[in-house]
Amino acid sequence: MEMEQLYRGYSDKVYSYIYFLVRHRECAEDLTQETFYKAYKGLDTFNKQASTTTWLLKIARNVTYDYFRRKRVLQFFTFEKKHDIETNVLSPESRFEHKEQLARMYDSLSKLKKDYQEVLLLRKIQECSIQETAYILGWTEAKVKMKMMRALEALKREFHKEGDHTNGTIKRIR
Amino acid sequence: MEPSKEFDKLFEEMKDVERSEDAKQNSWLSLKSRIEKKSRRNIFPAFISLAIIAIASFLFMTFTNPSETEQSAQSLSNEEVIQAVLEREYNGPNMEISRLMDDWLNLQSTTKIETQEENDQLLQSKEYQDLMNYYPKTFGEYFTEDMLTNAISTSMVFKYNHYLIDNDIDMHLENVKMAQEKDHPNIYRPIIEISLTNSQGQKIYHTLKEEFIFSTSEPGKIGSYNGVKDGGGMELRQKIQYFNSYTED
Repeated sequence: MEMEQLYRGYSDKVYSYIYFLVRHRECAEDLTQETFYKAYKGLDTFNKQASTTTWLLKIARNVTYDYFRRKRVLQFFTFEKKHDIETNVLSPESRFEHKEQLARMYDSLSKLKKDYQEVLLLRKIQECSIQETAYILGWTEAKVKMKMMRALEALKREFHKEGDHTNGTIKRIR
Repeated sequence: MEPSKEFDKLFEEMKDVERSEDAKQNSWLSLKSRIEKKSRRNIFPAFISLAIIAIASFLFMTFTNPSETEQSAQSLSNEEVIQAVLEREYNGPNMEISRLMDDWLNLQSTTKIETQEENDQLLQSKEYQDLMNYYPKTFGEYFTEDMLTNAISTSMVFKYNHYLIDNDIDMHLENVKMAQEKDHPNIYRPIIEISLTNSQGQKIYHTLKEEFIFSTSEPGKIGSYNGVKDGGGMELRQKIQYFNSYTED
């Protein structure tokens, strides 16, 4: 496959995945570029065992984790409420309530274990199948199912925890 | 309600991620250029790169002596607060934050986490606490609490540190020209001149711009610290990473 075709066809999906991990537009753009550069270097060895999307997301995950290690970033799923939540289509009351819900969701996600965050991101936001998620994370399918179940339970507990979500503000310094 | 159903609507909304068409196109052009360059030139031998990294690490371990200048921000003017932040950001590398970060990463990689409780416990570790305490110690006096939290999570502070260490470059803040917005006196977009020096003593200069917005609820503290579009931040990173390309005629 031609590189430009690959980039045009899949870069939005890769960008969206990386953006959720780093929550920074320029950085997500840089890492998307790096992902495709690595894909270009490994194109000859891509044996089509996985779909193109899954293969690229696996590279994107490695590239992003490498970035975390190099840059010493602490946690992903950080949340900037000013930039990330567009709720203009709603009435002021429901906009506020809605914003709170979404803020609470990001906050709750950010407090989960990393493997819970990852499995939720891939299964619920990136819409990967169990098989694809297992390939990207290097897990068995049974482990994906088990982690997914526990992650949702942990998310529910965190989301409904009282008094720990003040004004949608995320307290990261503990 | 089943957890999987309860959150479906919120997950659905989280799927919408905007991406600028310009940024997408620029990324493609950069990628294309890298691909073309790779096919043209020979790769620098790996053992030479490794030797450089080893020597750089040795020199840093031997000669770098970090010093902290703690100032009280209470009596400082806005300009002095900006100057203090820039001095911490643009004189480097800072080996202390690097050491604290490494300690924390090492602990994470050697600790097996099975449950959410174990994860919470890990966040109470000395390594994590030491690291988290270093940010307020260094920048806390100059930022509002929200800004400091934001600066940590988006790596807005110490943002060039690992590039400096990886490439064996010293950075020094040379000059700051303060520029206050006429109509919005809480906003400053200073012009920052810095120098970069490699291990052979070769020096290059770079000018960039950043934005500081002072809090109205906490006067004297920065409520927002941002890069400026086309302000030169990306180019500075390029210069650190590809220093030699900028010293050649």
